[in-house]
Amino acid sequence: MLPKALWKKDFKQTKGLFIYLGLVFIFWFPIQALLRIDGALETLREEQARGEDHHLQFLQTSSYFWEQLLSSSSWLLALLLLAVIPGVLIGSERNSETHHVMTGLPFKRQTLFISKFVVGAVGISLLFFFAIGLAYIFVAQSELSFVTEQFSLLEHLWLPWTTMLAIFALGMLMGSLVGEMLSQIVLTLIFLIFPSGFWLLVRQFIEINNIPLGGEQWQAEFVGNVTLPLILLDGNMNGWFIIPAVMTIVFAVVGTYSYASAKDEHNGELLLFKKLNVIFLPGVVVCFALLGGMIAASIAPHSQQEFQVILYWIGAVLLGSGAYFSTRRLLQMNRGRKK
Amino acid sequence: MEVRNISKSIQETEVLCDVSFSIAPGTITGIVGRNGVGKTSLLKTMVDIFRPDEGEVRVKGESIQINPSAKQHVIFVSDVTEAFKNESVDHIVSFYREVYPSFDHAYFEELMARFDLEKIQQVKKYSKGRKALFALILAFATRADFVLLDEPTDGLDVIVKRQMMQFMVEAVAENDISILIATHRLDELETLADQIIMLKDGQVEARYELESVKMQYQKMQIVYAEQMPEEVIEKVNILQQSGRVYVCFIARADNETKQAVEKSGPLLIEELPMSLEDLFIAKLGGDRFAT
Repeated sequence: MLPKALWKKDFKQTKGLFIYLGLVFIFWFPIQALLRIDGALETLREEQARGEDHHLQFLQTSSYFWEQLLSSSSWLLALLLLAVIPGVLIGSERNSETHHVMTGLPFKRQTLFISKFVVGAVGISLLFFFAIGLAYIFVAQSELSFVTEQFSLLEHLWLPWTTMLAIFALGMLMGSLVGEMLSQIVLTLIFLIFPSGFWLLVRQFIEINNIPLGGEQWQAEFVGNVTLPLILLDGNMNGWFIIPAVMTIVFAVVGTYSYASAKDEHNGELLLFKKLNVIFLPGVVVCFALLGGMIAASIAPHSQQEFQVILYWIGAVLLGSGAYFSTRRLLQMNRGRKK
Repeated sequence: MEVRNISKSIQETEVLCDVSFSIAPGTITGIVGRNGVGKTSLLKTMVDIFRPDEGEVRVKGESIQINPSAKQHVIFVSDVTEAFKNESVDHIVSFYREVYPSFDHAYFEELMARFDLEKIQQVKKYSKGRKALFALILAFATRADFVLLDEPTDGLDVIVKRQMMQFMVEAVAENDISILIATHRLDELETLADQIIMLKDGQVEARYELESVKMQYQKMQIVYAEQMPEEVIEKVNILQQSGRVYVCFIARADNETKQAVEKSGPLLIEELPMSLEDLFIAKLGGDRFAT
């Protein structure tokens, strides 16, 4: 059982963000539902006046209403908050002396991490299900109540719920690896779009440099299915529905382990595990080199392929070397406590 | 509380090397050493904020590395008072009450009144000294058996500092708790500490019972007509030299050195009252201090 003192403290720390998240969910689900009910009823009335019932039949036989409601662009704001909550739970403590006070208390570090994880995950889940429940009640009480027959808890809520938990869990994992809040939030956002972003950079590299590569279709599909924001926006997993749940579990387990084994004397630095520098530095340089190449190559006309390749490599070297020196400084930086 | 063979490296520099000592109940122990010698790191390692590379810390027979709940008997007060700065006094107290089952709320209220510290909505609104005082009050109110303090009187004004020192002596005498103080303020330790642990290069250089150390060493003022002979300089610890006047530090049992001094024909030999600071300079910086 989690110590009451811990989850109360963690909840108090994130209460403000949960209020914001609740407002986003309220706007996203119940308010959007009301607006969509009005819109749909208006369309049905116009259709009825014309003596048609195509839209009515469409709503009665498909889950179009729910899919539209769930894939609203409000995801973006929710996504940002889901990345900030772990930053406040872990990163803000690392920025101040609070983390040291907490690790000096009579608790296992795993318990400290699990308390934060549970508070975040339960808070997000309760707000999500409350807001969606409210939306369901509004729909059920309206003239459009027949669309509730098309609503499936598993089909419509499993994916957004597990994806939100996976985003939160990724933020928590970053918090267990990174030494301060701002870097934690930025790295969480970067790694959220990393699979698709990196794939785009690699594809540009392949195309511009004329490297033959087969099987792009399944690779693109796979990349799309592991890029969490795309899952939220798209909502169509084609059999990959288990991925966000697996990601949540993996991030939670690895996060707990790394939080417990991190060396707290590195708080305030970019990475808590110095061994990760070996992967991080070349990784950043390669990504920025690919980005530099892509940007530089876009200047050249598409017809002049040789010129494009030259510009690609100039851009790659320039941005790659810039990234090398900046990242080295960043890795030596300590944004932590003033002492 | 027992520190067993603790070693710790930070940024590839060994800050603690095979440190071992124990703290008996009802004592005040001072940890002294020059800047960067590892005093704060040692205290943080003693509550497992910093994980030791080797060794362990045992409290009442249990290793805090294996069983962190043993830390219920220990509290560490950092010299940085930034934690929970946006929280109210009441909220912090309620948190500590839940973490430390032995937290004594009545004692907390009594100490707040004694040190004339008002309860406020955000701890960050306290002055630096008041933040430090609040942290100390909170620590003692947990009724932990071992209180580890890092530069505890930093920022306190002279009157509160005296009151706090008086309070610490009372707390040890009345409640049989143990206090470990890492500080540069040797004058304060002199009136408080039962034992002194000197750290040098991350190692325990020496450990003294303060009462006995004054029996073991003598501080001597020696005046020569010319300069102190080389053979004597090699034998004594010179704390200070002003022209032909030398202030030296000699072990009371070191008869060989005493005879060498007497044979060197000084104009005057006089014993001076010895302070902890003299011992500190002689042991950790005497050779560099003297010119």
